[in-house]
Amino acid sequence: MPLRETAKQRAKRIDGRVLDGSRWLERGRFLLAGVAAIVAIGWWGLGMTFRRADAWTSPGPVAAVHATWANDCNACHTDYQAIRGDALLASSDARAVADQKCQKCHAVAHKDDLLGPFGHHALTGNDFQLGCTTCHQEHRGTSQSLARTADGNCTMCHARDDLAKLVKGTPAVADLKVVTQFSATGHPFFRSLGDPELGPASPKQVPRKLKFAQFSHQLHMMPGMARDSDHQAVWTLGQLAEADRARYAKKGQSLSEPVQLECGSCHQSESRGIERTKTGEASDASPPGNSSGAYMLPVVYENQCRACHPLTIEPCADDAAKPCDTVPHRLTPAKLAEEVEKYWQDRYFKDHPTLQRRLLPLPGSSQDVEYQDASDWVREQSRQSATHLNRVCGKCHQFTDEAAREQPRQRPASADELIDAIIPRVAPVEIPRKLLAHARFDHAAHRAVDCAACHQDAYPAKSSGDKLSDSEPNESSLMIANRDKCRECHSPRQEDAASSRGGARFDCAECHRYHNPAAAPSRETGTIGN
Amino acid sequence: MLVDFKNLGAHRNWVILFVLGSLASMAWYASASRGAMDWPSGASAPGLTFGIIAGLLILFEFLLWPRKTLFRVWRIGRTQVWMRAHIWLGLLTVPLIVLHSWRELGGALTTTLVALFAVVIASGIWGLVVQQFLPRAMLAQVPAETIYTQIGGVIEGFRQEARLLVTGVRGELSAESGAGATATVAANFAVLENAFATVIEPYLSTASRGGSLLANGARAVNFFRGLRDQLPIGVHPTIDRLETFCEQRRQFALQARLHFWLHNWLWIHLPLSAALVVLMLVHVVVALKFW
Repeated sequence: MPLRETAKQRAKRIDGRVLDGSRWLERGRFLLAGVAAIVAIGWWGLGMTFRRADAWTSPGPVAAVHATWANDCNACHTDYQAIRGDALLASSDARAVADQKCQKCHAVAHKDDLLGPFGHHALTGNDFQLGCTTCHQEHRGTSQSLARTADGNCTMCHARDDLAKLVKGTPAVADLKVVTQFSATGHPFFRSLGDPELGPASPKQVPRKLKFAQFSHQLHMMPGMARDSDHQAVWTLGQLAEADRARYAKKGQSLSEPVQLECGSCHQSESRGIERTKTGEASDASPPGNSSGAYMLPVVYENQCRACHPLTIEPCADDAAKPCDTVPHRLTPAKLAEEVEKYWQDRYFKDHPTLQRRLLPLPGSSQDVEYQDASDWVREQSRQSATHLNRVCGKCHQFTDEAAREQPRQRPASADELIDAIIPRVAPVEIPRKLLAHARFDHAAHRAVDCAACHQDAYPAKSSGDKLSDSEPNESSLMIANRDKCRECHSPRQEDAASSRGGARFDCAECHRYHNPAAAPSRETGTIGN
Repeated sequence: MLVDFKNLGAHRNWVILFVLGSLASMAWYASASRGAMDWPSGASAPGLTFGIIAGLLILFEFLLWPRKTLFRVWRIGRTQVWMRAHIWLGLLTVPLIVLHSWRELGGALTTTLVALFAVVIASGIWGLVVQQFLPRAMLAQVPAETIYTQIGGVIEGFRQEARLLVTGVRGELSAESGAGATATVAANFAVLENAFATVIEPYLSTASRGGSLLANGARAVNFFRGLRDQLPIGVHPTIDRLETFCEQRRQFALQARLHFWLHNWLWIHLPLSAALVVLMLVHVVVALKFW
C-alpha cells in the first residue's frame, strides 16, 4: 500500500524556487513555430526564385494540347481577374478578355455569322454569363478532352421548356423538343431524318426532298438490277464495257451472270478518294485521300452511274462489243445541243466523205443544195437525239418543267428551238453531303457495323419478288435509321442472359458540336449538284 | 478544457454556433450546386464566402497563442472564453474548408495547405480528447503529483534521503542486537545495503530509464516484503520509508508519461499552425491572381 507524504513533508523537501523553473517547453514551441513559419516562407521563396511557384499554384495539369503554356499562366489568365465560369467576382469584361485569349487560336464564330459570338444560337440575355470557361474547364489533367464537355453544359438550355424565349430569332427553335439525355424519353427523334411519331403528312415534318426523278436502292441492290418478263436478269456483266467489268465483277463471275451491286459499289468513304482524269473519267488507280472517312464521297455520274447508264446519243443495243456514242454528263442545254449537232455533222461527213465542206458555199451551186440537205439531215437527227436524250435524262432526273417531258416534237427550225423545245432543263439535284443536319456521324468509327444495320430499307425485302418499283418516294424517310438504332449501342451498358447492348458513349459531345458552323442552317447542307 | 455534461452550459452557445454554421454552409452549398453543371468551386459565391470566413477564423485561432503568452497582463477577454471559441470555431473551419475546396486538392500549394490543415485539426482534436481523460487519470493515479519540471530534483532528494536512512540503519541494528551481535548486525546491514545499492538507489537515480523491478508495483511490494522478512523488525520503518520513496518514484514516472501525452501534441499543433497561416496568406494572394 503506497505511503502518502504529508504536505508539510513535501514542503520541506521541495525548493520554493522551483516555480521559477525553466519555461523551455513554451520557448521550445515558440522557436519551432518560428522555424516552421520561416520554412514555409523559404519554400515559397525558393519556388519563386526557381520559377516553380506558378506550377505549385496551378490547381492541376493543363490538357496536353495546351502543354506549351503549362508554365505560362498569363497565356490564359489576366492577373487578378476571375475567368472561372462560376467565379463570384468575374465580370463580363474579364470574361471577354479571357475569351479573346482563347480565340487567338480558336476562332469559333465568323464576322458575318448570324449566330452568337460562340458560333451557336445567340441568346436574348446573358443570364448564364457564358464564356469559354463556362463549358471548357482546364487544369483537369493532361488527358482530359476540353472539347468533350459535360452534358449539363448543353441541357442548361436544351432541358428548358422556355428555350424559344432564350434564343434570338430562328423560328425553328420553337419546335425544338426538350432534351435531357440521350434516351427514349430524354431525346427526340432526329428531325432531319423525319420524326416517325409525327407521320409523313405532319406539317412539322422536315423531310429531305431529293430532286431526283427516279431512283430505287432496292432495285439496284437486286442481282441484275431487275428481272425481265422471262425472269432473266436485266443487266449482266457482258453488257458492261470491258473497262468497267473489272470494277463490278466478282471473282470467278462469268459474263452472263448478273451484275450484283453492293453498297460500296457507289458509296465510298472520303478516306479513299477517287480522282478524276482530265476527261472527267474516274480513275481507280488513285491513292487514299487524306480525309478521316467520316462521310461518303458524293455519288458522281461518271464514277457510279455511267457504266450502266450511258448517255447514248441515239438508241442503241446494250452490246459491249459495239459501244454506243455518248454525250458528256452535266452539260448545259446549249452545250448539249451544240454537242449533239456537232456529232451528227461529223457523222454526216463521215458517211459522205466525198462531200467537200465549204465555209461559204456559193448560192445556187449544187453544193449549196447538198449543204442544205445535210443541214436538214443533221437537224432531224439532232431532234431524234434530243428526244432520245429527253428519255435518257428523264429516266433519273426531274425537269424544271415536267409538262415538257411528253411534249410532241417538231423538227426545230433553229438551234435555239432545239434547245428550248426539246431539251428541257434538268432540275438541280439536291443531295446533301450531310444528312444529319445537327449532329456529326463518322462512318469510319462505325466501319465494323454492317451497312444494313442502319440502312436496312435500302435492301430488297425478301418478299419483293422479281419486280420492284423503279422509284422511291422523294419525300420519304432517307433509309437511315433514327434514334433508337443508335441507342442500341450508345446507351448505358446492359447485360442479360440473352444478349448485351449499350456501352458506347452517349454524352452530348459524342455527336454534337456547339461551335460547329454546321449548326447554322444556311451552311449545313452543302448540297451538290448544279 | 473539459467538455462534458457538467459544463455543457458554458459550451452551449458555441455548440449551437458550430452546428448551425455547419448546417447553414452545407445547405447553401447544396442549394448552389443544384442544377449547376459541376460542384461550386472555391471561387464561386458559396466557395469564396466559406474560404474567407475560414481564413478569418484560422487567423483568430492563431491569436490564442499570443493571447496566452504575450497578453497575459493586457487581458482581452477571459482565457476560458478564448479557449472555448478556439475549440468550436476551429471545428467550424472543417466544413467550411471542405466545402471551399470540394473534391479538388489542386496543386502543390493547396495540397500542402490541406495536409497542414488536416494535421492541425487532428492534433487539436487529439489534444482536446486527451484533456478530457488524462488530467483526471493523473489526479486519481498520481496523488503524489509534483511540478513536472521538478520531478528530477525531487527524486534526487529522495535518493539522498534514502542513503542517509540506510547509513543510519547500522546504528539502529547495533542498538537493537546488543554488544555481542556484531556479526548479525553486519550481516543484516549487508543485506540492506546490498538491496539499496543494487536495486533501490539505481531506481531512485534520475538517470534511471526503467527496467528495474521496482517500476512494477506488485514486484516492488514483493521485494520489500522479502526485505522485511530478512531483516529485524527494528529496521522495518526504514524499509517502509524506502518503499514510500519508490512508490512516489513510480508515480512520478506515470506523471511524466501522462504529461507527455497531455502536452506534447502542441509540438505538432503549434508549429504547423504557424506554417498553415503563412501558406494560407500565400494562397489568398495567388488564388486571387489566377482565378
